[in-house]
Amino acid sequence: MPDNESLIELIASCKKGNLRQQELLYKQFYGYALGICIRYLGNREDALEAANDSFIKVFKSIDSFNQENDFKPWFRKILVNTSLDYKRRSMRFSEAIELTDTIPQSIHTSVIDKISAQDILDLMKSLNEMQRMVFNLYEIDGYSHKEIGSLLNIPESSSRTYLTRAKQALQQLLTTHSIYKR
Amino acid sequence: MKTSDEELKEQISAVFEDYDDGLGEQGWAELRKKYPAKETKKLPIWWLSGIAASLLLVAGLYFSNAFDKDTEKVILRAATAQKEHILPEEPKQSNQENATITELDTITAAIHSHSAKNKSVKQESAVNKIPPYIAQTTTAAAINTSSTKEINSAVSNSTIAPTTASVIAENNNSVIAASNNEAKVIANNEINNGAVVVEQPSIPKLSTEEFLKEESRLLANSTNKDTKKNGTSKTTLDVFTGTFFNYYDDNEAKLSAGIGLNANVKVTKNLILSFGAGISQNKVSFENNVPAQISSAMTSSKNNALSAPSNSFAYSATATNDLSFNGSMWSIDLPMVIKLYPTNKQDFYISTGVNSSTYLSQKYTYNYSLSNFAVQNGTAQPQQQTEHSGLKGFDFANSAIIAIGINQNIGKNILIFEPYYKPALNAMGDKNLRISSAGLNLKFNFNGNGKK
Repeated sequence: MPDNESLIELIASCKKGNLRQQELLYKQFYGYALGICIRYLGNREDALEAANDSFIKVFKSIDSFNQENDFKPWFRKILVNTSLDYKRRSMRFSEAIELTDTIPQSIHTSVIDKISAQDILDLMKSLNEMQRMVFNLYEIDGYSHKEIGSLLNIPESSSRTYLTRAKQALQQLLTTHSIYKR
Repeated sequence: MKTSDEELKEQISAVFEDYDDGLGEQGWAELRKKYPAKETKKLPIWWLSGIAASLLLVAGLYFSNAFDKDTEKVILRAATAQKEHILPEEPKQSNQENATITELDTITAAIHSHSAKNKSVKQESAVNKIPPYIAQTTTAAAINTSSTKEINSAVSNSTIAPTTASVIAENNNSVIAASNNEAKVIANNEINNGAVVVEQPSIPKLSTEEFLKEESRLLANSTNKDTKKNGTSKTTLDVFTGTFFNYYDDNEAKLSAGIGLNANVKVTKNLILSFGAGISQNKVSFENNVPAQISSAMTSSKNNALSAPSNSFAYSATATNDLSFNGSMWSIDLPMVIKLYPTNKQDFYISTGVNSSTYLSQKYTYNYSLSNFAVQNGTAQPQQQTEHSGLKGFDFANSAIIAIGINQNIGKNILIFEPYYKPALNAMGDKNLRISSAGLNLKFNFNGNGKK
């Protein structure tokens, strides 16, 4: 990641439509963008497309970006919204995999330390779409249930329910995972 | 102590904070397919416009120069025939008996010097058509003796120069000038350093009445020649370059450009028939608002794609998303219009007509996504199809032309600003697109002297 000063210069160049600088910005934030999109979309192909769409939005609207603010949160918002739009177009949120009530089991934290990105993606894929969205939005990206309700067009209470179930499912899956790993 | 939930959150954040798979270069290449394509497509249009404008300028200067020479000749010929400036001359007393020396200070207004040989020849021939007149003198002395007339001609750098001179021969003793009108001398002399002594040739004399008649005839001829000259410019040429927007309904208008040539044939004083040929690029874009005739083509295209679906996916026709269509055609346009000049001043015109087209190349791109609800939760499968075709097709009168031209004189030529509107009358190209356009033509008319 570039330091703040060089990032400001980079953005200023991008505002002038300099293609080389846009490429530089792209490459410097490629991993960041792909990481966010893949959490929501679950596979690299879709994530790359959403990330690229987000970059295009950035290049087109970078004039509106106030350089006194941090670039990353602004960009993160674009990435999340684009991923949600992408998902919204291609799926129906109404589907849900109902989980039976499970009793959370305690998992040793050393197991969590060792799980890789691919393990996490596999775990996430085991969640249904809505649970994955809500978990990502709330736990990782810091959105409130109210914001999530607005973004996903669901009641706030549903957001809470999806989050609880996502957590339960993950606990259950991690237990299985840790047993399997052992 | 952190709970397993918190540990998981932190781990997820850490793992995905910079999920660089080392394929950034490939990702950028993918992005370039979508995004910068628009930028790079814009460049040729502006380059094309720039090149067209440059060509227009160069051609304009060339024709302008050529026209200047032609008109110069006409003006010269008319001036030679018409202009005669007579200045009184200083009489000189001669001390010699039986000899009359008439010194003429001849001012020739219509002397026009040119270094070009052919021009000089033309001048000469033009002058030679004029019957020579000689100063009419009544004195026996003047006739009987070899009169010497010294003609001081103001010439510059000419080897041969026509001189139409008026001579007033004034003699205190025996030479009587007949009259200013009668005493005319036209000398076609070889000039040496601006002053030459010429032996007066034997030239038939004309009476005043005869001279006036001859003069009138000459003037009439000269007018006729000019008229004929104007008559030959009844047909003029325009070179034009235009930028315009293509649109269909409420889709995004696309900027396009073209260049071409027009011929203008004068039908009546205020009516001109104009026709020509040009090359232009027509682009259209349909985003989620694709007209029926294209939808059917796309459906057919999709069905072809579905005839051999990969991985045995069963696509649902109702799950099509993000339908878009882009078309780009390079066409030869054949406009034919009637121009009407409503005022005698002829500084603007209204024109209407039709345009026909044939196509040098056509490119159509379909973008759509198909969803399979049975697989991957209905994840959309993006699809793109492109069709190309070469030179083919001719659409007669596919659009009407309504335009207003505003003339701006530039030297002998005219620069015309012509805003226009071309509503679609018929479909264009393989996909039967009905494209209307509006734009501005910049025309350079090689005419000289204004009127087209």
